[in-house]
Amino acid sequence: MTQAAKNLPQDSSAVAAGVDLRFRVIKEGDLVRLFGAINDTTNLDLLADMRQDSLTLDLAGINAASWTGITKFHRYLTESGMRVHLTGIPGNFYRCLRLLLTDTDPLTIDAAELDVFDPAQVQAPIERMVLSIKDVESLAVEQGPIITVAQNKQILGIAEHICPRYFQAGGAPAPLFLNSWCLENNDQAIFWYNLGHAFTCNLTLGIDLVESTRQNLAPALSSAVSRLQSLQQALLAFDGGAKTSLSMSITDKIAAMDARIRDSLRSCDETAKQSYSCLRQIQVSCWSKMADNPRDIFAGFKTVGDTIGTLNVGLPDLGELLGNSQLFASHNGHGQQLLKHLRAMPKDERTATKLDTLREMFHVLDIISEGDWDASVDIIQDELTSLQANSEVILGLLGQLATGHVLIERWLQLMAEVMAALEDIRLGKKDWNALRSALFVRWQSEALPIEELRTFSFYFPDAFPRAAPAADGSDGSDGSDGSDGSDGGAFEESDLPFSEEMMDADP
Amino acid sequence: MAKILIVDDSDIIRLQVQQALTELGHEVIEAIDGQDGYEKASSHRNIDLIIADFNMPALSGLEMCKKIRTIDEYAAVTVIILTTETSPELRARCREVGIRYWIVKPVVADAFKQAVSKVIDSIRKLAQSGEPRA
Repeated sequence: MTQAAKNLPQDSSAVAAGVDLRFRVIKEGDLVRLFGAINDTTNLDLLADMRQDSLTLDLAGINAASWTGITKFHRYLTESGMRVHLTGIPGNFYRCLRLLLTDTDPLTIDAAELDVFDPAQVQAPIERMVLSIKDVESLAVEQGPIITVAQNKQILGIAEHICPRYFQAGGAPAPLFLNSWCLENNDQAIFWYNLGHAFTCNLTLGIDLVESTRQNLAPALSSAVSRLQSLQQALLAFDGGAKTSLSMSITDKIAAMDARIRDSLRSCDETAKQSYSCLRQIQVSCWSKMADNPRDIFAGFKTVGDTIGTLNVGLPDLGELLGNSQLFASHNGHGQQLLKHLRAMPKDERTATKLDTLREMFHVLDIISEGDWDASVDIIQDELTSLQANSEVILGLLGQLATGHVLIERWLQLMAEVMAALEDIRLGKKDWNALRSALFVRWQSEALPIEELRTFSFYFPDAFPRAAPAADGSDGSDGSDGSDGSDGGAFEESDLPFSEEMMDADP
Repeated sequence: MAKILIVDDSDIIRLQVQQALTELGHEVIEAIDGQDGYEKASSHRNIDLIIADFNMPALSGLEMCKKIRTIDEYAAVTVIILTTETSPELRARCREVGIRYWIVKPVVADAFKQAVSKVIDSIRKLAQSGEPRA
């Protein structure tokens, strides 16, 4: 049922280690293995060759994935007309994917990597285990919402949040706490428990977005700088009189920015660990007779907020990044100037040595154009066109990076407000229900980023009025106060205040 | 006729390349990854040209080429990188180790045959002139 557990986190450290992020598809009999990264630029049409009525995709080789990539992947599979089984789903991937699943999806989750911990070992790290979801569902029937798997490891999170059968079909039985405070304050305990999970989910989505943007930004910047250097060298060598504003210092600036994003992401990994540690403590407290109450433990998220605040300050200034990216675009004129000069060069000056030098400057390895001046200049023109394309990609990615900043900033604001309210609740100055109501009103009235909307509607489905009646003809409500978040059922696209396409179009 | 080692972890690409080269009358040796490529080069004599993928398991195309060049006979063997990569930094790294040729996948048979024929001609001319090749 299980495979060897591994410690959190994985994604950013994997990238730092130079893991191959190319998206690849390898068919082995009836199983199709996917490798590399899935992001918004991934060519999922590679899966088209594998088309058959029923398909099993093994995602264990996916070492990075962005929210937009997972959204695109989910949409691709649901629109493919195939019955698809997914297995070996990495933890970060499954955390996002389950927010998108509906009961009409032709997708079956066979096995996914889940967060587990040993509740008896206070200092033991949270690990990940690949678990059969069918087995986990069977255990949930036997054990209830808190599931213990092999080696006394407990899954972090309740069955309702793990098993598609439960979160798609009306929820598992409400948790039966052991903690006396939780038994007396059942709804409030569930509220803090779910809020902790929603906060951690949103935090990791923000971090994942920054990380996936960096994965694309780093090579785009690197290619642009390389092409810019080639242009500068060629201008100096072949058009010495050219007045150029090209500055070598831009390469240093870009390298420094990439280093700052990398450093920030290292802090992110630590922050995510802190957040998971809080969740673990909350879970242990809920199901221990002698433990602090989960509301007080929730205060531990303040430390997470302090750390992520430091991280966000460390991220490069977007204005500075945008300014530098504009520099790439501004060199189009210099490129045209070089091409004009090279094409106008008299035949007797076009020596083999000059051609070799020019080709070396632009790293031209094309075979057919070797030894041919005009054909080589055509290749160089393609390179300069690619520089322009790099510039456009960089601008787009900077917009995405800004979205990551926004998610983290929003997380910080909300956390600060919840922490302030928590203090009042602990002192008896405020009712916890007032906080919950205020949050629900806020989530309903604000134009939430799609990532937040999906997260809050997953953990607090009763905060979002359902547009469509339930299959049994009722209004979809279970008549409870809903604070256990179990009245859910499938969350349809039509239930969203605004469509995902709108969000995609305006990041 | 030339003796050509093709190294690619994709069965489909190896088949396409092998067919194109056989049609040109060349002798083909196949290897399934970088390590296999190095071992095939170690165990075969008189290879004229190596055509290798860039990204491969076990040993990348670049690392494999560096390793093959430690074999005396192949210290200056000509290499064509066959890849989906278009990055100028990767091309610069290839140039640094003396690789001068690069073909971007997908393989278009006619263009591929024309490119390989040009490289083979170049190798023969260099061999006749006694100059070192790359």
